[in-house]
Amino acid sequence: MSDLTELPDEQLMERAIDDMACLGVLIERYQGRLMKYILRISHFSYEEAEEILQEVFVKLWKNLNGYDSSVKFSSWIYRITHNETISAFRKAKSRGDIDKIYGGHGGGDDDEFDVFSVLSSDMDIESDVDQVLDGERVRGVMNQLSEKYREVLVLKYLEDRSYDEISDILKKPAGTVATLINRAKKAFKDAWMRNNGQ
Amino acid sequence: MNHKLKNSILQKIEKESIEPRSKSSFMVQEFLFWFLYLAGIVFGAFGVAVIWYTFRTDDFDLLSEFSGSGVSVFVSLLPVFWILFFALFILLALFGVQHTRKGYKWTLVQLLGANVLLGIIFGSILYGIGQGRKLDEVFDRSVPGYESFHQRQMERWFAPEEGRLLGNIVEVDEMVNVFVLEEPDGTKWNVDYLDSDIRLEAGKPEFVPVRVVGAITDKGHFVADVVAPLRRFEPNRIRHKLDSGAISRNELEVFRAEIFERLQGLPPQERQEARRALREKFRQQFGD
Repeated sequence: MSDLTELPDEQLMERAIDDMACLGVLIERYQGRLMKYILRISHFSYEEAEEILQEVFVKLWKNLNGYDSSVKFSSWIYRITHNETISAFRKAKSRGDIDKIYGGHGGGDDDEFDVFSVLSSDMDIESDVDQVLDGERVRGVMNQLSEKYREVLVLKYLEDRSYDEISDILKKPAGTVATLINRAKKAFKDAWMRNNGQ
Repeated sequence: MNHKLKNSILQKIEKESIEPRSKSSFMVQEFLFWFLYLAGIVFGAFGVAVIWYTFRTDDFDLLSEFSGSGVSVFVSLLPVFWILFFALFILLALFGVQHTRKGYKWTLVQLLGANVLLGIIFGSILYGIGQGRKLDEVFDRSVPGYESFHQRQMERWFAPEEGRLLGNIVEVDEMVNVFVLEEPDGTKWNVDYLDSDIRLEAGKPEFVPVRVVGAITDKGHFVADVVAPLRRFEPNRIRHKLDSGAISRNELEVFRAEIFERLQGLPPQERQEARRALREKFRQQFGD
């Protein structure tokens, strides 16, 4: 097992079909960040997110042979996670729980506030550092953004994904991703200013 | 969470005997989307070939000679069926390529633009090797309700009372500037071309199929304003019926007299409808 943990994702994927232990390593490697990702883009509870995550890895197993090695494994697993979260949201919506997604609690760690402050300074909002660091306010602004803007901001600034990776995750052209990020930043800035009476 | 989640997932896979989808099923899926894409481009290209053929062969060169506004005549000549045919298959190609593994890398506009361009390029090649005409004929023979644009063109020009004649020039008298035109049903007309715009290659009447715009001056006599080449001329359905005995010359003469009587004096907007009714009556009486 100790050898397996040193293997890169792509090799683990190749071997997983014959050796389930490789799947186990991938689960351990990704469960933490995927859990965070689900919680960031949704309002699902921890238990619900865990169920989604379980489905993500089962789907990974089912689609093992469909993995396209020209795409980074991490992008592929994020894509599955994104799709599963959306699918869970749709199920919740059909049951009437419409606020389960894109109004999230943001994972709630300190790193997140730092990233949001970077995002804000990118946009030259430097007037009130205390406000930028106010996580509640930032989350409030994110909650006002539409789904398409929120998901690219989360991937770019919280998950630290490149444009190409976001393109692979959301299955959108890289140019479209760049446009969405620019618009999302502007929407964030506008909402921030509106909320703070600027 | 670490081991608990991992164990529960591995147990679930084992307990429910969940198997990965086979490699071949993914390959078949990918192949099907590429197949849809190629089929869409190829069939779309055939549509373009017929559209080219229609534009090159139908009456677009004589738009200004028809009564009514140029735009409405242009629209009425458009090969709507083939334009929709092309659009449908290009959308099918779009659907196919968007669902391939890498399809998401391009925007809708890029994919649509590329598909349309490919359709036009291949369609032009198909038109160049005569496939446009062939497809129009194949559809005419085998698709119920489909009317070849050529058949529509023949019917459009089977209307001397509206100032349109079509047929072969069989005699030319350059001394008096009159030629004899024989219509597909054998009717002959003496056409005065003295003051007409001759758009034939030779610049004067020659023994070729032509379209003539003008007016009847007397029974069997016609004065031409424009004489233009007919790029496709074949015995039409009426000729076939006459040759096969499905309709006698006498019956055809009677029917033509009825056309003349029904259409005479009608305003242009009512003529279209009257001609449609006559066509329907002809079909009912003598078959499709």
